[in-house]
Amino acid sequence: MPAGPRVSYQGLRVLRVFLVSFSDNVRAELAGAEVMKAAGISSGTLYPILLRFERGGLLESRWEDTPPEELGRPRRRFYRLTSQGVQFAHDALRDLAPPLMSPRTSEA
Amino acid sequence: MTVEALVIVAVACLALIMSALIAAPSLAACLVRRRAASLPEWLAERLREEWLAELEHMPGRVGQLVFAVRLALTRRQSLIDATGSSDAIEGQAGAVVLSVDELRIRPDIREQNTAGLIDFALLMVPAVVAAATPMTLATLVLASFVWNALWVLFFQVCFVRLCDGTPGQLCAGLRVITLDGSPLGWRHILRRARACVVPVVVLAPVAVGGAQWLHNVGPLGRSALWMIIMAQALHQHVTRDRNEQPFDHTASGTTVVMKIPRVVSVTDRRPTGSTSPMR
Repeated sequence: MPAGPRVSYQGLRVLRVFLVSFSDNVRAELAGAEVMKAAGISSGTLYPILLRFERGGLLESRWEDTPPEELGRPRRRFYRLTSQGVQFAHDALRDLAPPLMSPRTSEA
Repeated sequence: MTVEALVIVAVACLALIMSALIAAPSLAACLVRRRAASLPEWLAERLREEWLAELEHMPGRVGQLVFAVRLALTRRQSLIDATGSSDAIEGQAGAVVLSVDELRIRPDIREQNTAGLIDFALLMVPAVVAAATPMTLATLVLASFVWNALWVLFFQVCFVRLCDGTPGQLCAGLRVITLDGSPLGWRHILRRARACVVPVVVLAPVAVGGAQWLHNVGPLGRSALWMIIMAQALHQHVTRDRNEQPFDHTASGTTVVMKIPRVVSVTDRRPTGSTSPMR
């Protein structure tokens, strides 16, 4: 088991979403709504996970560049895997999550 | 249960769902703000903006409502714990400790309930009279309208302007003050009382139109009328912000405090769910 923060089943789903996004584009960033949709988890479950992963150094986040006055709405916050997060996600998904790799859940 | 009763319940449920859907964006934003406001300030600022932004990216009204409700149901402590903040060791279930000064003036829930019950009893006087007096439905509605209007005008507006509190609050030893320390003005009081005006506005056409109008609107209209009145009562008397104040009161920049500060010792601290009282 890789050293790092405790990871729940939902946490693994979140990591997998980020890892898939990272494999498509190493600079890819995701906002909460996109992670929710891709991981299929609720907002109430997602945000504690994002905050925990960020504290654990697996994710880093930043605000949208454009100021809210120009956007006409609040700024979004984007998350991306750190290099430590990439390694951790690889290890965790390989070691701990065979069910996540099943064809049914992979399609989700 | 008769078929008519079932129809009324179904219509009421439908009206409730429709109201929730119509008000979904603002309701969702309100829930999100409230959830964020319950967190420590440094975390609240970040998550409020982040959640409000994400809310706009949720597909459809139902999606927005689900997003907000799921956040509202999330334990406050799980969000704080996730950040590893020292706030997490303050106590169980998000408890924090109020300062002694805040304890001296902040009414507890028993005092607020006493005030609410007295005001509610005054509002219910016509119902008691109606129960003892045979009158038609139209007369009852007219009497309710007049009494509601007088209740709002005298008890919720004039009394607060002249005596700094409703009759119930005065009896319970409470008074209304502004959050910024400025004198209590008409603007504060009218904004504070605006939710109480809802039943008056709803009852006005009935009172003017009489029994015929009430008959013409049919069971659907009558259900909607009662739904609006009950929703207002629920909003006014049940829902509370993090300082245990009705939302309209906080929005008007006012709050309720003890008229005579209670005596407390430094050791007489109690936990509450609030992080920054009297804000």
